[in-house]
Amino acid sequence: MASIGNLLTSSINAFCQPSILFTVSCILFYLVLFRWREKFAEKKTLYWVEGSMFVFILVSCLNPTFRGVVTTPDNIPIVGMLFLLVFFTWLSVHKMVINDRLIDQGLDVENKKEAKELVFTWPDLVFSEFICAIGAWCLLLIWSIVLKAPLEEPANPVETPNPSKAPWYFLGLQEMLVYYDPWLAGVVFPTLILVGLILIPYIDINPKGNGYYTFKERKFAITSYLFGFLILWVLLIIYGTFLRGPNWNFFGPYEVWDLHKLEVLKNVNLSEYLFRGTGLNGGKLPDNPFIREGLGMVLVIGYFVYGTILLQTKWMKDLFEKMGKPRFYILVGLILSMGALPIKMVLRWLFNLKYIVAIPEWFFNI
Amino acid sequence: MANNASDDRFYKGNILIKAFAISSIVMLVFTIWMILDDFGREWKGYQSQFMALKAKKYQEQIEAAKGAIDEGKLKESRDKLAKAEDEIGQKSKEESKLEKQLTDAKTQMTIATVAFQGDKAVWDVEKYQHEAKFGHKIAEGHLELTDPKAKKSYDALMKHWENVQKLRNVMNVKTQEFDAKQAEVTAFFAAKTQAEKEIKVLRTEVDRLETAKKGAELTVSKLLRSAPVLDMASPTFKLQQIVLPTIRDDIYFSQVQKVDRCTSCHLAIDLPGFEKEAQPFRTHPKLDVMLGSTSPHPIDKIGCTVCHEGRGTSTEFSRAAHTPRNEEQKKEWEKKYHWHEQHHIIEKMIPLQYTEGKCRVCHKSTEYVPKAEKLNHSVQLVRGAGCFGCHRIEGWDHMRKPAPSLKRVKGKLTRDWIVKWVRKPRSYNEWARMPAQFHQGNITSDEFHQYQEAELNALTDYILNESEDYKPNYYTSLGNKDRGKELFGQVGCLGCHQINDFPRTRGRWTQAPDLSTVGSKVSKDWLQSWLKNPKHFWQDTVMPSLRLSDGEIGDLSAYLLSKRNEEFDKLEVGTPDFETQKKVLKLYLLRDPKMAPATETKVDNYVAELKPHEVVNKLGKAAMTRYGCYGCHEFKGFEKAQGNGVELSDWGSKPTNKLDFGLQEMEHSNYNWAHGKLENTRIWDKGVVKEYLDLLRMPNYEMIEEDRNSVVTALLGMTSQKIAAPAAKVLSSRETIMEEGQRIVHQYNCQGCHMIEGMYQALADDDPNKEEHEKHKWDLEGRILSYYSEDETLGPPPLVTEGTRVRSEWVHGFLNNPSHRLRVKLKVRMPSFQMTNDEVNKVVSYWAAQGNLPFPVAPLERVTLTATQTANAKALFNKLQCANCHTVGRDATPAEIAEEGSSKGLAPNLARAHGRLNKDWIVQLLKEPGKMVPGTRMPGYWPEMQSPAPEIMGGDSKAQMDLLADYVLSLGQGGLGTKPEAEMKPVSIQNQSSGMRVSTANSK
Repeated sequence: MASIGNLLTSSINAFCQPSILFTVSCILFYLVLFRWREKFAEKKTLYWVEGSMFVFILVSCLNPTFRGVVTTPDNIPIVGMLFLLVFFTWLSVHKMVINDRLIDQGLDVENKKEAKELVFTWPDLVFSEFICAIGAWCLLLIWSIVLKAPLEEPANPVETPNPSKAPWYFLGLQEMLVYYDPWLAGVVFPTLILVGLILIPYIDINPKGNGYYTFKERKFAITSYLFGFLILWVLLIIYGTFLRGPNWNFFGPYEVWDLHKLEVLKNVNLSEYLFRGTGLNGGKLPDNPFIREGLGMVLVIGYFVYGTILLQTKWMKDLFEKMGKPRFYILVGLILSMGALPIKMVLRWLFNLKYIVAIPEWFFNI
Repeated sequence: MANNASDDRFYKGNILIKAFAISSIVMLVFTIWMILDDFGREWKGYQSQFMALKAKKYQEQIEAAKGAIDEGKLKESRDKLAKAEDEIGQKSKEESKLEKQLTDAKTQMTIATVAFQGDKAVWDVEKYQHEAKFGHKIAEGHLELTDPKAKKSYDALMKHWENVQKLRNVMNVKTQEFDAKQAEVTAFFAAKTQAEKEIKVLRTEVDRLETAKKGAELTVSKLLRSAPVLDMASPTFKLQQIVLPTIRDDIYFSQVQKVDRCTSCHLAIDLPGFEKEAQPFRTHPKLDVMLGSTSPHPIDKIGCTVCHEGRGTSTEFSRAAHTPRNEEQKKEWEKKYHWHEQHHIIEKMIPLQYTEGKCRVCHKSTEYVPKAEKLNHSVQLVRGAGCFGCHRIEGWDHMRKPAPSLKRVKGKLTRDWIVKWVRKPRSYNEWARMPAQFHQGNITSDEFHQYQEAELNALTDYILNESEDYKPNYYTSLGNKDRGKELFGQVGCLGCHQINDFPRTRGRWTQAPDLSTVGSKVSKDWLQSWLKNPKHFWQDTVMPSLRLSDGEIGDLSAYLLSKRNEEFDKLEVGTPDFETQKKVLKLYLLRDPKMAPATETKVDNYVAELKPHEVVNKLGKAAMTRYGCYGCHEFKGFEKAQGNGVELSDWGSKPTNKLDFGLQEMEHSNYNWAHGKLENTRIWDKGVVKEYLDLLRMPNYEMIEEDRNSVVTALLGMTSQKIAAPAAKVLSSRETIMEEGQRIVHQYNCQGCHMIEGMYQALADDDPNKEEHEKHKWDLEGRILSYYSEDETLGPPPLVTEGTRVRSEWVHGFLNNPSHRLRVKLKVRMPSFQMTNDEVNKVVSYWAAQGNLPFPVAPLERVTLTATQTANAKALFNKLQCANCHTVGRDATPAEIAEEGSSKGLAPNLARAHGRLNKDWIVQLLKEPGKMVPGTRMPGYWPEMQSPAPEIMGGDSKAQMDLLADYVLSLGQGGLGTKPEAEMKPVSIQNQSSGMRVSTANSK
């Protein structure tokens, strides 16, 4: 029994490695959205998913490390939000599926039916909102009573906690720092995320799906948004919260957070691969950054230029025609930037690639 | 759009209303819960419990006070009261008449008073108006007093004044009438009032306690005062806090006043009477030293966390960072208080058993902290174990290296002995103090064991190669070892050394080595030369000369050389493997900065060129450097080298995460770490993969738990906390002199034989710990006295009052040459320490300061007695039979000494008092001999100042003692056979601290 348990815990630990879990999540994301949508939208699935998550967490709590991480006053609400996340994702898919069926049959979608039954703002809406406010107030009260704020000693500037973690909602950004230079992961990407979110209404001119859920009429919009949100944001937060321990090392869910755990850190820049790996220039890195990092620069610029051309002429030809140039190029810029994160992650896992362009003398690394 | 909504105006109205009702009730419940949760603080519960406890205590005291009232007197007074009331009752008519008259008089008086005050108020206003209208102008000279308008106004005012005067008269008359009536009434009730007063006086204490009890009782109104919101005014339960403006907490670069709220729950901590209550209501166990208002550390000046640590501002059990003292208590707390470790708090409470160590935070690096027995013991242990040899400890830099010098070791020890000894010191003697360096727990492979042997042999050869030559300069023939054993027990060796023929009375880490197996160590000639004059071999030794005769040295050396360890003698020495030595040397060279960047070939070539003895010497030196032998032993070439260990001066403040716990599963605290380290210094290497030269190398002390506790106590007190004056102890100039003297005293181990500071405090007879406490009577001072427990007077005399007792110049002379014995019956000898003049001066100054004497001393004055005085003194002297024990003008004869039970030879020759003793001390001795010289045989003749000889001098005890003291002092100056002590050796004392040069040649 013990050995089976060990095997199970160590295989789950191994499975949670960023490379494996991230890849599996991407595949699952594709399958659920494109292959198993109908199945996923059933109520039974919701019960199964939420139920098995609950059982998994409960059983895992037998493990002291897991219990310690999950029951920290900070983390309990995050665990709760995972259940909410599953529920709301399911709910939207559920509604999409129903509406898509209705659309296929040429009928009005659910919301359009409901929209015909109007009610008054006062008392109906305001009253409902007021009750919700009371409910939220109760929740906050009980939260504050039961889970005491984990106040610590005054901060000691010469001795920072290890791991030093950002607030939970920024842990996705902090996780990005593993793969990108701070100016990108900490400045450019967050700005792009904010700007991108603000720009959505101006870019998205598809009138369909207004006021109701639908997948078939908005495939691209929903897929790209959910990928960005679920995989590139929530999954990274889960990593940052539950699976990153001292020294920001990866720790499996049942692995003791050992301060002394070491991981091999031997990431190599693309230019080093180029010159040292192939013996070009006698293995010596040129001093001129443009020569040294030329290949990387070409690749990065090529990614954006060629990517745009490809999207414009092949994969998103229809969209390009509908949207017009300015909207389309902004969209493509955002989409390609978003795609850069998983691409860099894969490169890191496969080739230990540190930077594609590495010009530390200018503090410019990609 | 026809649906229900438009009809009822309220879509699903019923559901919403119900949901609203339910959610509102839930919110109310939660809000109340929140308030209760916020207000239901732990400390409020304790305060209410404490009120009940206090009320109970008061009730007990009330019962006791009632019992103490004189029942007879109380009854008498009560009878009186009853009688008086009876009498009044009989004259009830007169009583009511009187009372009515009194009321009338009072009414009249009140009316008259009101009338007067009313009219006076009106007049005051008029006066003001007059002055406003005319007064200012008159004052400025614009108007004459004779101005008709002014005059008229003034006259009117004066007229009114007359009326006011009249009314005042009426008031006074009425008041007089009332007073008279009042007196009449008082007289009427006089007997009753008197009886009541008597009863009240008898019941004063009871009444006081009852009022106090009422204050402690919890009533509804008191409870209400602590209700939410109402508690802003004057709550019954309130936070207690001690703010210490002079002591500051360092919260990362900002200094804040220390605030301790511990007393919010520990409500009786400074109140006597709660010693046996359960926590948190127990009184501090050492109220006379700590927290008591008359103690040196009153609670409002010291607070709690200065000593105990923990978070003083917190008022919740766990968050205050209480620390259990052991596993048992931890379990108890977890159950009782839901205690859990506070990981974020750095300064957690120190477990109680180590608290005493914290005295040193304020009492920095003093030799003794008064009344801190455990700490003093701990500090002595740290000193004895020689921790400071490798680990620097601030304030201890003045100390000599703790172990013998190896500079001339060739003349003392053989190579075989050194190898066997260093390999395993306790194979030579189980009480060996040197810790084991080689073949310890972290040497796990055969290969590493071979490395250790290689280093050990090289080290030994290196030490011997570097040693200077030494030839013993004295020898005599071996004597009788039985006589030697007797001598060993008598002459004073046991003050510092232990040997297995005599009971063991102290632990391992004491002043001098155990000699049980010394025969296996040293040669005859070396030993005899050493006994004759230790300084000949080693200039810095503190071993004194006991002025042994040739015969005594012969006997003693015969005895010591017979003490062999046969098993040790038989141990294999082994031969070094030169190839391994080369291999280990290469390991060192690969890391040698001089070889850097080192390659195998480079090192190989280098070693190949070395001659064999060079290999051995180089390896020996490398091993010496790595193992830090020079930390404790003086060694050529390493005189200035810093010890190998981490500095301990502020070890107590070291954060736990800076300590390497290896792979050991244990609770991470600094005291746990220190315990583990001291038990097995290599423990953190267990299971860890390391290269040979990276292995831990602190030698193993294998301390027993008791000793470890002591060391940890001392370590926890060495912190980086900066407590500035006036909160910290600052030595006065007198204390500084004492401090310097104590250092010398400890260096020479004077306290091995003498009681000096009076460290041992006897417990009361009924104390349950008395027996256990007695056992430690000689732990800190006068250790040799444990061999004289049957008759302490046969051991070295106590020096507890030495400061007031002897004259400084006498001490100086005696320390320089103690051969002129005072108590000739004593077999134990005061050794010749051969102190430097500076050291002697410091000891002398120490005693002078301890006795609060002026230093340098007053000139020696000649005592002159009149004939009558002499006659009286002689009469007293004879009556008290002083000569039964004391001799005068001569030492006791051998026959007298040999007499069974005789005190002759124990009591000094009185003729030597002059020039040696201070008169005040003699008077004190006569008054309370036991206090001045603990354990003395000298009887006290003036118990409670009752004279034993009422016929002499009218039985005036004070005058008698005074005279006797003078007489004793006069004995030595009258040519009674010996010279006054001070004349024996005129000395000059240079007071080092003040730089004064003072001649104390006697005043002839």
